[in-house]
Amino acid sequence: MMNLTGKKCLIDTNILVAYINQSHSLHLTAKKLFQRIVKKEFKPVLSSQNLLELTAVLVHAFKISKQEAVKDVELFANDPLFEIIYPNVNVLNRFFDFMKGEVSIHTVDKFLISTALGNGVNIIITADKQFMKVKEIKTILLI
Amino acid sequence: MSQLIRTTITLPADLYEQLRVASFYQRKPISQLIREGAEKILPQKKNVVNLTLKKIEGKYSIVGKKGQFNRSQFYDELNREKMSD
Repeated sequence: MMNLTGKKCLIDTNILVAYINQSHSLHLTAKKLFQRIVKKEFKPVLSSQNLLELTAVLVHAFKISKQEAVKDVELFANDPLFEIIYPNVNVLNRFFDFMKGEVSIHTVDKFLISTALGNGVNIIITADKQFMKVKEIKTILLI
Repeated sequence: MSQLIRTTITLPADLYEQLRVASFYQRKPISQLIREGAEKILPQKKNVVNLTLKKIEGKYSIVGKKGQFNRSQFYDELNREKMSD
């Protein structure tokens, strides 16, 4: 993986899911990434969208109670290692620009990228190769 | 050690005297003894963080597609549910 020292990197939801699910094919890869996070090798960032999606996965796919799911998600949200970013007006304008553009990725992926870029984050660590179509953000693919 | 900050603290005279004696016998400056004491009572941030993430690492074992996350499929299914009667 490229040298990420001191750089802000958005951790995608699929990586969070791989980290908490020991049966996930990328679990060990995600564990290694989190070891790097604990060593502060780079600055991990989560967007409110990632936290929303993780909550939904826990409740609807993992069939965990809402109370338990929130406790799990709060572990990420409240950990001082992670910076949490949110959509703002700047993000919305970027999203509208993305929607007018030609890049063929899912609408919600465009919103996630807009949230990252609008908050000064231009690297995403993900298991989804679709992001590689977007030239505005550097995609680090964990496969 | 990170950057040092100079500050002023107020100590009871007898505690200061004990520190002064300890400083002499342990051959350490009083400021170092105070730093060591503070580090003992404050939570070690690194360990706390490790424990926090460890709580959730591999907590679940969900096999197959339900144990994965594909954003486009996830939202498309959600949309279908919302659009259906």
